[in-house]
Amino acid sequence: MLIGLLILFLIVGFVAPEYLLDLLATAVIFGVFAASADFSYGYAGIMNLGSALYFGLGAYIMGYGLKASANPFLLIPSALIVSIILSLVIGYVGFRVKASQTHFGLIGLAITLGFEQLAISLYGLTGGSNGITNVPRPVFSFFGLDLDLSSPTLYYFYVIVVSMGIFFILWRLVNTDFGRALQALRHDETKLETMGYHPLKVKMTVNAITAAIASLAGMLLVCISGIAYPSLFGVGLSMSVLIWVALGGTGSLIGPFIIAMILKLSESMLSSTFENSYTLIIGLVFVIMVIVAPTGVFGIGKKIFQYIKRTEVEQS
Amino acid sequence: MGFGIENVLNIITAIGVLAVVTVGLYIILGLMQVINMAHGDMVMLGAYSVVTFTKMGINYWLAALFSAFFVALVGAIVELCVVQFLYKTGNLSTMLATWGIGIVLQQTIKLIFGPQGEFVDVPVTSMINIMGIEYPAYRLILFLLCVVILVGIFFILKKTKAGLLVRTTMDNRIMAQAMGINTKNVYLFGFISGSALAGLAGALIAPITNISPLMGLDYVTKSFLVVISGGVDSMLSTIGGSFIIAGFQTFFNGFMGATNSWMTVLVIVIIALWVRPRGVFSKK
Amino acid sequence: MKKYRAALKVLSLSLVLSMFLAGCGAGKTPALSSQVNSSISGETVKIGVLAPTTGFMSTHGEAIKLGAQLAEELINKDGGIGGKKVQVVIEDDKSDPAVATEKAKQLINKDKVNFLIGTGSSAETLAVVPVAEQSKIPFIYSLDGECKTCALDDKSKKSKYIFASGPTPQMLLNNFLPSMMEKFGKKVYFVGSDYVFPHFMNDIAAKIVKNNGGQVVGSEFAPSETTDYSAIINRINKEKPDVLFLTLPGTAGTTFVKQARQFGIFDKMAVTGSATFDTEAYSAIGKISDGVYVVNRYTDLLDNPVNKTFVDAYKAKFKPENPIGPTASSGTYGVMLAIKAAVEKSGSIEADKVVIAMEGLKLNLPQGEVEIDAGNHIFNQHIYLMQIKNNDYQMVKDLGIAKHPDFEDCSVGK
Repeated sequence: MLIGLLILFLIVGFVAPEYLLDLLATAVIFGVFAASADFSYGYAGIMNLGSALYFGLGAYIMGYGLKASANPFLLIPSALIVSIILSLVIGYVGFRVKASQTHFGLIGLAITLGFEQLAISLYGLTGGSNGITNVPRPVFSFFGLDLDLSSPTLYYFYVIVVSMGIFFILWRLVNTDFGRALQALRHDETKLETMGYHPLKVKMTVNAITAAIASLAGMLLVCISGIAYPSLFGVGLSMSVLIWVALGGTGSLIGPFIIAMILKLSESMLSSTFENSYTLIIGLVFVIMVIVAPTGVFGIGKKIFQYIKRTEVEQS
Repeated sequence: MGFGIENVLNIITAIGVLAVVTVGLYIILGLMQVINMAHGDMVMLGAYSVVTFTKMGINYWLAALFSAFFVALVGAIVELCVVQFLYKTGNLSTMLATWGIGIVLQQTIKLIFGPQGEFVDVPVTSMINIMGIEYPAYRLILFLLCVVILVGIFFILKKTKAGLLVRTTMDNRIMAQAMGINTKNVYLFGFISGSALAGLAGALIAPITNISPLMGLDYVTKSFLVVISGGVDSMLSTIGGSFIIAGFQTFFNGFMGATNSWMTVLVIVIIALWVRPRGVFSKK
Repeated sequence: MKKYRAALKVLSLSLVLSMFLAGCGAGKTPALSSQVNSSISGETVKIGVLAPTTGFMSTHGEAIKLGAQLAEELINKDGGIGGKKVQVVIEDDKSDPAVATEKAKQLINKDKVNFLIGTGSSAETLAVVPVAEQSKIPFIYSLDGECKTCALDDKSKKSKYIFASGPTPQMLLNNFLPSMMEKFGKKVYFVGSDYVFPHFMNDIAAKIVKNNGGQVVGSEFAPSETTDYSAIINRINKEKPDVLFLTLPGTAGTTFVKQARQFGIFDKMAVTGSATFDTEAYSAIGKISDGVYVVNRYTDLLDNPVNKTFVDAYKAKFKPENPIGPTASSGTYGVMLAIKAAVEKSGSIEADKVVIAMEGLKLNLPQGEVEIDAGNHIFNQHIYLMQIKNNDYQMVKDLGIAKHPDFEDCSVGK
């Protein structure tokens, strides 16, 4: 099924008009970001109200580095390492003191707000409220060959390959023993210990993986938008991610991925027509969904399938 | 010390205002473990209500009371139509549902009033002479009102039957139900009270802050910082949290730049959470 | 596994659906992203308008939208641009720089606009600048702020396609501050929101004050979301300046002004600012700002025929409750008039030709005489000293035409 999605994305890449490819790539990036948040919350039960922290960090480091003509092959791993180390520190502190789920989430919020303020204040480093502007697309050079990703088409395929690759890794992870361990973590930590895992280490690993992916998403996005700015660290983006997870269906990975894409695409396309009422309608839809369909769109999909199956069986 | 009476007054008035803005959130969070992301927007609703009522010619103080009632009504609708279905489904759902409600409130107000700011005048424009310096009367009145409100809530919680029901349910919902308490109604009452307080706070701060559809965001952020740093054990935790957030910020701002003061407070919050994750002023 | 597959099918179908909607809405022909939109789409001249009607710049966005709609109507009534109809395509960039990039690309590549105008904050503007330059589409941004018209790769040279309709801090303050100091005294205190624009303003203001024999007795900044300014106001009271200069735009400004008034600041010193007391804040603090002096590029009371046409038409169409500000009149309507003049002068809507026509172009706009500087692409314009009185911005003194020195403080490519 993943192959199916991949083929779908590839076909779209050839067929769609070029200016749309940037938008589609953005949607896929948000999709992967949503999937990582689901990995953290839907599987391991770790809620983070400040997941945008790593996204922003990735965007800023990549933006800064690309403008300084740093080699992307060095830049990307460096940004990843910074994000992972930060997440390990935060994770260690947060999990060690056995903060409740809510508290850990809110700690994340406080930290990301701090970074937002830092991004505004450190004008010399970050461009302040203007942000890091005019970020160029990366050029990968290997063995004398230059792969310049300036063309939206090339960049789109690059994003697809990277994002689907990450998604595939996540998918494999949750279907292994590790994945099952995570679900134990969500329901009952002591059970995890009996399975032979150390809860603290597991949590920190999950946190690190989520952070790395969020960071990568930020790195991918900054080249499309051409700018890294303080609101990337804000409450808005963090909440959007959680919304995608809830609406898509926690614990399904694919639900949040697709919902994030659909919401981003519809927002871009419909908001011009329904400008004033679009946000209001989305808010309402959202509230209704949370009550009526707590398992998200994925759950609805499942129910529809079950209904179809049942009618098939009845007919036979 | 040369620190000045004005600084002290600034600090205590700032604490008072933040405490009264946050107490509504505390009640809902402490009682029902609901992270009410629409809290800031209820404050906003209170501000817009007082603007509307005063424009209709109603006296400011009455208008503030009406605003509290109005927002309480909105809170009741929200609880009955949305929140009550979500208590069992966990933190994320209530948080996101209330975030959605917040968006609906913001957009509705924006559609009705437009994005630009509104204006309501301070009911008292004079200055009072305190220990040799001139200080705005309204800020002092506001502080006194905050004290009255906080003491009032404390009193209701500790000394009245309703308060006892609330506290029992807060401690242990299942036990409360076993004791025959209608926890569903207690929750409804709690949500309404929290909303009313948010609305009242909004009405009271409307003369001294900007009034616009998006104003809630700043207040919900600060309120959350208050409850996570102070804890949710009791009213005192909320006041303590307000002391940390507003008190320290104003204190530092007395001799440091505002941005650095804010950053310092954030750092303090993070450290405080490390040392006492359940809140500095909690029992644990 | 089967359940996953089925749910996946449902979801994939919806995804395909949305992608097809996107495709259908767009048309299937792949377009070259850097194609110069020199062809006329039918018989119309298309102007893309980036108006942040949602988000924190929404008051400016609304003004941009209204100004564009009015301009479209009036220009078309007047025969259009060189005989061709003008069409505005208005997109909401949500006060978000990433969305601004996206919408700019959409306007250029999908709607095939010939020109771009608008944007609210500096970050939005800076996001659009590279897109416009690389796509070779003239972009005349609406708001004032630090210079952003230098070339992407060389801060000492001008960009090819970027123009600034709004004044820079230097232009606003050069004559204004000395006038204020002359009127009220030499001790000046600055307060600003802590982000790029106020820092530029206050830095330049400090220089001007010192060069005119004044004294900066305080300069401080607070985060935009500050809700309590009492500590800062306390310090201002202690320093007893003659002039208090505020660069606290939007909501920060209204909060500060309300609180400062409580502490009696308005009675003790001359309070002034540009962004703080602009028309977008009038509904919130206009009533308590009586007597405040402000500096800006426009007041709807300006007495010239172009402005009269504009104001009468605006009031008839939109019935505004508050004074009409520079964003709608100068930043949008005036800019569209400038585009019209440039196209008619060059006889073509080809970007390269229009851009040359714009350089040095002299215009009579609602804000007064304007000359588009050939050297740095900034609109050289009159700066006015005004006072808020009788529910409007009364003209006190025309401070003359201001020019910006080369590309000082250009924030492009930083």
